[in-house]
Amino acid sequence: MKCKEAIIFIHEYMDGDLNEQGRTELRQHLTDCIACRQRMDQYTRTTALIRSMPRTKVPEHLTNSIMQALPGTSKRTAWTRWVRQHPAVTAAVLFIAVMLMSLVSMWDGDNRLMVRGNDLDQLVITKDQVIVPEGHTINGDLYVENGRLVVEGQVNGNLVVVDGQLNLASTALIGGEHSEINQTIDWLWFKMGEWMEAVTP
Amino acid sequence: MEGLEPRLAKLARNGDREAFRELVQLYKDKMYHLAYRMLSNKQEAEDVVQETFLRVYTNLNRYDDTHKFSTWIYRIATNLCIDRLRKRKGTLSLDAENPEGEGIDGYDMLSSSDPLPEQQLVLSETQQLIRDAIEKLPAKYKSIVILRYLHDMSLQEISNVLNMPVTTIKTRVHRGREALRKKLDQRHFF
Repeated sequence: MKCKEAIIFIHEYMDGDLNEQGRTELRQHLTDCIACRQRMDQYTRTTALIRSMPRTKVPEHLTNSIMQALPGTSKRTAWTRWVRQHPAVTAAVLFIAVMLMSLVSMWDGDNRLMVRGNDLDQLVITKDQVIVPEGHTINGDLYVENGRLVVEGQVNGNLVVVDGQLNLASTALIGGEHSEINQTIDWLWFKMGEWMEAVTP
Repeated sequence: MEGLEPRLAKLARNGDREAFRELVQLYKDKMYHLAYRMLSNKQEAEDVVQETFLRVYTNLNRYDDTHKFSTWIYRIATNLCIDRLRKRKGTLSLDAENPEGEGIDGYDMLSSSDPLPEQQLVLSETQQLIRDAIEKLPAKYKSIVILRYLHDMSLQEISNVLNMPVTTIKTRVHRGREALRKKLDQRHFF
């Protein structure tokens, strides 16, 4: 066997791929050839050295930073799981949210003067003012939005002013309650009260 | 019976993050050691490990559990390392580690807070010798030497990981072994 061949055999041997016959041939060559024996010894020491390399410390935060880099936080999964487990509550919450949103947009959207009530022909209505003149009587509730309500006469019912002002003259006579609503939230309560009255028999 | 890893992979695929965390625990050290040996840089090694698991996570539906999970994850990590080495080629940067000490690179020299003294391994001269020799190997030999001797893979396993014929792997193991022997010989190790 030539040294060139022997080196191939040495590699095969180190890979664990040399059969019995090859090993016998190689052994024979190695007993005769110092250079190849030395070469094989060097390979063995090289691989032993690689295997003995110390391992660097793995950073402790590695697992967490890997998990955090994944798409979709665990918070979101927890949230969707909750939604799936409570469909009724979710539907109710969504319904309320949509209602609130539409109410808010209603409240913000309209700046025109609006009057609601009975006996509207008794009223004097200007651009931003509603007057119940002295000597006139309104039978029932009066509702004014986005304007001033001046009462000089008589109202046999409740007065509600939204986003406006209520002026009661000394001659005014109010049969029911009167209130002014200028905050979204007050107005919401009021609307909800109205609904509840409508819904409950 | 199904093995642990395919089972965890299946659970993770269906959104079980704790199952995925278990896979991370099983493989993060191996992946880190592989990446660190390939790139000789802590920050880059960490980035590669993170990227590896991210790819595993987003491709879980493509994982074919008739194959070994380890083969798949090793392939992803090795390819990411080789890509980085290829991009890095010829660019001098802080990422090049100081050959004088294990784990000391440009970043460490800039920030005084980073390495704790007890983490600094004191390497013997021969350990430094082999470390430098491996670092300077071309990527195609480096990956194979690392998988063969630091991750104890058979030639067949390496061939599966790298998707190359066993004969190619064998030739590269032989050449890598010879290159390392030569380098150690030049430095009068023998």
